[in-house]
Amino acid sequence: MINPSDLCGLGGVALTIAGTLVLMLGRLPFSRRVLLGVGTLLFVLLLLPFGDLPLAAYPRGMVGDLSISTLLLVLYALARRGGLGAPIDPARRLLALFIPVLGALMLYPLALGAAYYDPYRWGFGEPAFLGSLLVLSLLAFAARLPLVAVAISLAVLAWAAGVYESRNLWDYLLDPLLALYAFAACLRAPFARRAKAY
Amino acid sequence: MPRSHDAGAAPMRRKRSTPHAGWRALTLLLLVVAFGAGALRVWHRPPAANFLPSASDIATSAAKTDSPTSDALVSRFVSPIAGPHRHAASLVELKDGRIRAFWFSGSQEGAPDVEIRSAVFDPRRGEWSPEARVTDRFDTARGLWRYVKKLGNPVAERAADGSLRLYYVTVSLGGWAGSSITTRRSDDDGATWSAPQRLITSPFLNLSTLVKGTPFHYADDSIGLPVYHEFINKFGEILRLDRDGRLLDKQRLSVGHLALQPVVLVRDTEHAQVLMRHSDGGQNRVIGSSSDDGGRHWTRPSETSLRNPNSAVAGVVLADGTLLAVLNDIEGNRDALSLLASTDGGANWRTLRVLEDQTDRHGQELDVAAYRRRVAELARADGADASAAEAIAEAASTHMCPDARCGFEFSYPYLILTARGDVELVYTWNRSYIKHTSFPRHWLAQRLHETTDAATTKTGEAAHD
Repeated sequence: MINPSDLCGLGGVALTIAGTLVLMLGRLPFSRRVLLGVGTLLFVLLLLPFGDLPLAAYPRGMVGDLSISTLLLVLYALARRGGLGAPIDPARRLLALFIPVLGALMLYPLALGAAYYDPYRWGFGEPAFLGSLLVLSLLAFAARLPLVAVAISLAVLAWAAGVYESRNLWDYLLDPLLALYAFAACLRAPFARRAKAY
Repeated sequence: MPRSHDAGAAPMRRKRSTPHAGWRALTLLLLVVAFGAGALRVWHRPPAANFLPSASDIATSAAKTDSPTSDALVSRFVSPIAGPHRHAASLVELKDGRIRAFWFSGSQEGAPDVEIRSAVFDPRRGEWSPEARVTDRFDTARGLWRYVKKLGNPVAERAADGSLRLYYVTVSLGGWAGSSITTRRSDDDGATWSAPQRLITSPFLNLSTLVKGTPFHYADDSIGLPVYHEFINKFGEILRLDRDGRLLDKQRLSVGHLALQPVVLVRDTEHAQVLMRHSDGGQNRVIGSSSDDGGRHWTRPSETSLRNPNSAVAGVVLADGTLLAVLNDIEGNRDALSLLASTDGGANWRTLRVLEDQTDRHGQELDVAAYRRRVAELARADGADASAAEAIAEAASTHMCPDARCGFEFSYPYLILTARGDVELVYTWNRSYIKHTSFPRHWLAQRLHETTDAATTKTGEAAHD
């Protein structure tokens, strides 16, 4: 019997893979109905057993559970592709993507043993860390970056509820795939000829 | 007209701003709820606690009975079955005073067929039970709902609620640098095990945490699990797990490429020593660190006087505070293994017993035939009959003679102090067997007394008896 945290982890991986494929196919002339059908079919296929395990268990074994921020970003991009949700202007989008880049640049080298100080420890319930995230969420809210405020709030809520097997808040906020995507997007932004509202 | 235009535009702005304001209000509400829930979780976070010394550790029923074990030093193989590659054994005392061992076994280290195996030693009869499988990678993958490529080091500990907790290495991606830790619980002293659970210990794809050292306890019943990392850097850490096996915190013991496989020797509620394997080859020393505030802070690691050829160390603390360590007390290779003691908190060490020593072969190339003869001699000296000695020699040469050049390896020691006060050791014997040696408390007391009289304080020189 699968436990809820494994179900959430597998569901998150399946959603991210299916959603990313739909977003890539969305660049081709497919109708929304076709894209929705392909996305739903792939999502279900990824959760069906293949041998002993669902297909999503194989990528999950390698990348682990994906952060709530990643899932929200995928869902937001899908919603925009479907004509829902408000666009974010390029400057605010860049600012929003800069936050996970900064977080990753601070967290990963130190967590991988570059120094004695390990910010990953904050994620086990350090009050100052939670307070800093509250301030960051309020600043994002005031700066009209609701996606950032919602991502942080949902991550904190999921951590408090113990949705994933991780006990560390960082794992709900950030993952290497999100950091890589944000890093690439930030690098690409200055070279974009025509900034396009997302 | 302008007035009427303005009058018409104002209601339109209100219409547009109403849903927007609604979303902003919802976002604010989410923020309040989320951080309220987060604050509750932070509020319930257990505070740091002092150490629980092993002398006052979770007692087993055996502590109350003095079993008729011998005072002589006895060694034997945990499992006599020849063939598989065996490595990384650990021990835990059961409620009835028996000892359960775990190790990994397969065609070779890191192979897909590696299993976690276990057997039980009865000190009254002086016998090991037949070995049995605990788990393999398929069983673990099904329970974790994720792909698992291979298994590695297992260690076990008795939790405050009486259950056994098994921690073992699982790899889904790459080599040992891709390791993470999986844990299982047993309420029947290892006869059956719960579904596995993954410990998430690193933010970068959960790479790469491995177990080797003996777990210890804190005064609030939480468990300290010494672990180490091997991805990019090699460093030691301590994980703190609550009584339900959930990760509460972690502490770093070293950084960079210096040290791994920490062993924590808890002397009292506030004082503990850490011994770590030096992760560079060559003529190095065991890396040490210490805490005098119940593990809240650890000193920066530094070299001890103990020699260490990049090999694992085991340690335990006796009730009187004497530290015991088993290690390859030589400058290179892993072909000698010794039991050492320190009665001054780890400042000076003296050898109590050389357990294995094949160093007279240093610099000589041993071909397969000569190696088999030597191994068979060792086996016969340990009491094996001729046919058993030949089987042991055959098994050892299978794993220790790559390219027809052979070597000896006595490595990965693991020590526990039983409730009776005896010390039990297991270690890898030529990658073919797990060897077990019991050090009865009377033997230890006598040997400590003898070596005090002839105090051979270690100052970097060999002190083999």
